[in-house]
Amino acid sequence: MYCDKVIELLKELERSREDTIPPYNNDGINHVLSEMKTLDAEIIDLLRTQKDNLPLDAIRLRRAAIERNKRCLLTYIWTRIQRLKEMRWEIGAILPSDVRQNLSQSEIEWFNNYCKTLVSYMKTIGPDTGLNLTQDTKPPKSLYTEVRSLVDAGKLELESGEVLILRKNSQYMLSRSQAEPLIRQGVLEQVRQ
Amino acid sequence: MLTIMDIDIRDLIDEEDDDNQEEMTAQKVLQIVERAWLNEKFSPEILPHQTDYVDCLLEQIKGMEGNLAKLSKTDPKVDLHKLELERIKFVITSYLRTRLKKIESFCVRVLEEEATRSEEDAYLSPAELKFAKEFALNADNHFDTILRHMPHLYNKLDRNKKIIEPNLNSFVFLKCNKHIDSVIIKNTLEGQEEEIVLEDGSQHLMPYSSIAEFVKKGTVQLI
Amino acid sequence: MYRNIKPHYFSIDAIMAAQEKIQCSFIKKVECVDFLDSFNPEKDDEESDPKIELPLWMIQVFLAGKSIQFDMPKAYNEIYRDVLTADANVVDLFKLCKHFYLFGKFLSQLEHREAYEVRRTLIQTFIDRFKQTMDWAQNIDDNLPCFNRLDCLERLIFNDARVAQQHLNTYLTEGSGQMEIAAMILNYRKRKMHESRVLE
Repeated sequence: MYCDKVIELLKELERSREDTIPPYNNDGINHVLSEMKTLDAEIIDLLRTQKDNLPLDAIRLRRAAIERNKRCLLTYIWTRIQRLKEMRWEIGAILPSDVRQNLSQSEIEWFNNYCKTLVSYMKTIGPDTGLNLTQDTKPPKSLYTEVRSLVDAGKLELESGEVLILRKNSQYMLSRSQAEPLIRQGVLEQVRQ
Repeated sequence: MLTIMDIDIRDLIDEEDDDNQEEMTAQKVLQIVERAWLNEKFSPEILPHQTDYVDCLLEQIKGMEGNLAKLSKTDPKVDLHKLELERIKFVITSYLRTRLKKIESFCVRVLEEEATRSEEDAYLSPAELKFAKEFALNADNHFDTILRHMPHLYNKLDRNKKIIEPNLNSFVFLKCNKHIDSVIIKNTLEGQEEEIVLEDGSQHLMPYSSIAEFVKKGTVQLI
Repeated sequence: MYRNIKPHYFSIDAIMAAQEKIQCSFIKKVECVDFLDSFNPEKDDEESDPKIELPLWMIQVFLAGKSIQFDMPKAYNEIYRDVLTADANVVDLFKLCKHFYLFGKFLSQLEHREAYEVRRTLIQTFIDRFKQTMDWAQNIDDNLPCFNRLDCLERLIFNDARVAQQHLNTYLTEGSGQMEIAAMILNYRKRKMHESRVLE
């Protein structure tokens, strides 16, 4: 029946976790586009060969199928973009390689443009070089926080100029603003009070 | 949070900074930004921007940070003030983030409505407007990569389909700052309307659409 | 995001709800549609018209041309409406119809003599079940069996309520401000670990 393939595409997306992006199903998309072309050609054919007695239902049904395919395809790519956007805020501007390989060329381009637009906006905030809105995601309770390093992360230069060597399982006292991005990335973890 | 600012702000602001155009103290600006933050968090639609106040606050923070750097590092007040500044920065970033998410979600609608407003009545700051336009263009270009493969009659996406709108009838908690004589609540289930009076200081739960204009004017505060 | 946003074009839930099948029969012959050829009405005998199951979106097309008539699907017929009115809380809505409310809403917008009743039942069912859903969500431990009986809309509400309750609990015990690894990164790592274990 019409539009079965496109529903399969959407189901694939629905089944995947909301914080992942499954591989871009280029074959599936091409299949749907080709169905749309066929349906369109059939409509034109019907309009031509049966113009004295137009099968209205048949034409309406095909139009509805084309529109439904269109809606589903656009929803497919829109949903993927929403997830990509979320990744920029949660993970940052550099996506892990196995996420990147699931994206289409156009999605990679969209992502790069989005990062540019976002950074360009953040730079305009305030009197200086801007404000990073992807930070300060939780209300600060204290200036400093005790953290534990989850990996051997190498050198970290503190705001005071001091240089720390982050070793796995060692604990340190860092300023909250310096610790936050590292905690979010999973390099450090906050020691619970 | 405000108490520390009340007591010590005079220690930190240089004498010269006192004569700026606004006769606003730092705490008044902060209060305006905090209220704007709460309103923005709880309202379904985007509200008029308060960029001027935000910028002013950021300037003041910069000034205060500069002054703090001059104080002795062992002065216990330094850490307390620094924390205060961090908390204010949190309010600002949360406020701007909330606005950005709304701009992204409702982009097409926001741009349309903004186009009907004059510069003084603008809801978006110039930077936000630029962001919105670039975001919309980026989305359109991306959709185009698939639309252009569709049969000719169907290869554009109408505005009607692109539109995503906030539900303005969502319920919100609010507090009245002033007595309001008449607020109309539409009872959508039965199609009736009810007119009520809101007393100064009273708190309510009602559809946002009934009090939207009051939020924007400041007579009602969302909580 | 369903809260605070009006239904829109890109909603997967709405698309899936419109995919639900409804039993119907044709009252007018439909030409030039291959898969419907054997389902066209015979003579004037309505009783023997072959029935076919078609998705909602197709039915909407044929209704516009007045070529079709449909039966209210099982979940919305008189029998189930009575069950829901009697005690909505015992019904496993997910099993009955995954998108119970959304599909029901679309159905009630079609021209059918029971449409008004369906609308009323939908609203009343929602009201009746809401309290139970909220109660379950706010008692965090082991809700899985209850969760499985909720339809898609109720599940969204349930999850939101649960998250809100967890936030409240955290606030009351630890205060807010605990910084955490970004949820996406945590889940990504868990998946990677799981994958590498599976490969071993």
